[in-house]
Amino acid sequence: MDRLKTSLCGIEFKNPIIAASGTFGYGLEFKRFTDLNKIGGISVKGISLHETEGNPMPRITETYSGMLNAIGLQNVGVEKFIKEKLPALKSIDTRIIVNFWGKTIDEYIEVAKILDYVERVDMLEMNISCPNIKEGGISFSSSPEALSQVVSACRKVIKNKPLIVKLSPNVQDIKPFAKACEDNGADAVSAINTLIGMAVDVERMKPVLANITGGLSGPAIKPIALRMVKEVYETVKIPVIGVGGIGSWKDAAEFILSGASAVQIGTANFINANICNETSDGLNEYLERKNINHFSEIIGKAVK
Amino acid sequence: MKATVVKNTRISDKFGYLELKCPEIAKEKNAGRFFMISPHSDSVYITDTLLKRPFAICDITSEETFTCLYMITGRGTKILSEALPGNNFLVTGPIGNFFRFEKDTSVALIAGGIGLAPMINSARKLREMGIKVTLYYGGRSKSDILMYDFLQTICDELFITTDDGSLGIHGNVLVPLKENIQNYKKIYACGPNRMLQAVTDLCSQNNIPIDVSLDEQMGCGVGACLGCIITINENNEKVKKRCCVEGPIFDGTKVDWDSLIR
Ligand SMILES: Cc1cc2nc3c(=O)[nH]c(=O)nc-3n(C[C@H](O)[C@H](O)[C@H](O)COP(=O)(O)OP(=O)(O)OC[C@H]3O[C@@H](n4cnc5c(N)ncnc54)[C@H](O)[C@@H]3O)c2cc1C
Ligand SMILES: Cc1cc2nc3c(=O)[nH]c(=O)nc-3n(C[C@H](O)[C@H](O)[C@H](O)COP(=O)(O)O)c2cc1C
Ligand code: FES
Repeated sequence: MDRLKTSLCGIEFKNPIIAASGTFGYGLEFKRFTDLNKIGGISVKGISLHETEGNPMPRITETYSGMLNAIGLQNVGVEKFIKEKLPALKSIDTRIIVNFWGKTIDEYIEVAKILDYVERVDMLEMNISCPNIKEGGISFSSSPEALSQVVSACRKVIKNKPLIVKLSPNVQDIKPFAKACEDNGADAVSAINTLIGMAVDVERMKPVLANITGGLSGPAIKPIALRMVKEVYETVKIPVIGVGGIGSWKDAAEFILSGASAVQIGTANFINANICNETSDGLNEYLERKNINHFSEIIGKAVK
Repeated sequence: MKATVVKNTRISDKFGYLELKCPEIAKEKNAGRFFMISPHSDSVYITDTLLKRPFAICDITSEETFTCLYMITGRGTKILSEALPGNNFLVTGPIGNFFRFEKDTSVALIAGGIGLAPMINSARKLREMGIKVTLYYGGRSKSDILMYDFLQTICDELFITTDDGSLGIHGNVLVPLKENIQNYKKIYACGPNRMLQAVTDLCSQNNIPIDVSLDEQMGCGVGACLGCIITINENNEKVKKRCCVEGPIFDGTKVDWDSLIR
């Protein structure tokens, strides 16, 4: 019985487990360490119109049960991505989601237009919440109105692929943001991106990260992510993809029970390169043990 | 992938080495590569120390076992220092590039502090290739110089230096290296960035190529997170390289030291 096979915005997935953007490179980096053909999907590193250098080092640091990152959205740019990275993904049988971002609405539109016609790309995921680039990301998630503008602009040019919008947790109330995505034509939302945090090196008496602040991810953010997934689930009818601190099948089940139609695993890939596949195996066993034919039967069950 | 602790040998309150059983890593034939290890026994994910830590493959002790030399600097290395035989740790590896030794060239290995770790494996490799093994090894004081007797058995020539003069030559590794630098065709070094930069300067002045093994924060160890970037000067351009997969070994003369020393 296939308890995990699912359709997300009309796209068939082997299972609802997706590797989260920025933690799985361009897809093949983990090839030596896990069976990529078993993973439901891969969301690749955030792509922009132009190649981007990223922030100065240090860019990452560990915190209690989590980590801070200020990579600064380093990526090869959309052109090189299509030419140099994407062809290699033809050899693996998994869904490819391309995470993308821009510094202006025009840049978002340009990248979206290009990716919309690329065959190997199954879905697009708009990153409006990267807290790292001063001039970019954050402003689009500063108000539901600003978000509406960029989502509707992208929706107009994305004609062939489902559009996911990835929500920022760095807002007072996430619900109106989720609503703005749905109202402006998003096919799904993913929640959450990282929470802005900071760490200080007491010996150097300076912030650890060159960027001063960074995005917090890992087990430390799971309770917040779960709460936000529940809030978004209760607000919109489009599917919610749960992200934030997932590191085991149990964590994934918590997200599904709180309203997630699929989940993404980020930081946990760094600790266990095989975690995506162990999570789907574990979920399967759990459903079997509970006599549940399909995971969709329990989406939101804990919060209904 | 798991590694099982066979033995944990404490050298002092600050240093020790683990013998680990993990055939996938022990079969590594090249010197200078490393592996990542989760600093907590068994594979529970929800933990205080989250990320894996990078460590050099120090010495291969059998087809299935190798050693990891550790210096206790923080929470993770403290946990590893208390590991007991039979404990399992999640590991990834072998990772990274390696030292490319060439037959019939006279070379020198330079180690500063815990930078000794990859040099043990390197010394073995050189001997296997029939190349004379010369090691310059520096530390702050006598207590930082590890495995002195053992090193004498794997090296043909050993220069020990200490900053305070408590063992070997008084000063840093540059003191004896300056005298002999002209004798070498290539230098391989691992240690603190300031030392590596100084050794690179000496090599540049003498037109001798140098490979340095660099230490940088790492998130994933597989090239996916872009957290370990080293800036390299290539064709008058600053190029970003990932220390974990494109390193940890780089041409010292091309490293942008200003971005590393902070
Ligand atoms: C390629 C490579 C090989 C290494 N080989 C060895 C070795 O053989 N023996 C040895 O003792 N040490 C080695 N190190 C350094 C070792 O990784 C750090 O000392 C260790 O990660 C510190 O962990 P901690 O939990 O004790 O320190 P904490 O300060 O508690 O660590 C917090 C975080 O910072 C990271 N971190 C702290 N210091 C360093 C550092 N110097 N380099 C990289 N990350 C750091 C940790 O990995 C962890 O993610 C190597 C580093 C690299 C990059
Ligand atoms: C190193 C790193 C890089 C990331 N890069 C991106 C990115 O480019 N685009 C994006 O939308 N999210 C990015 N994220 C956020 C993750 O996709 C995810 O939303 C977040 O880390 C929370 O999930 P986790 O706790 O499972 O890691 C990044 C996270 C990390 C740790
Ligand atoms: S440690 Fe993640 S890219 Fe090098």
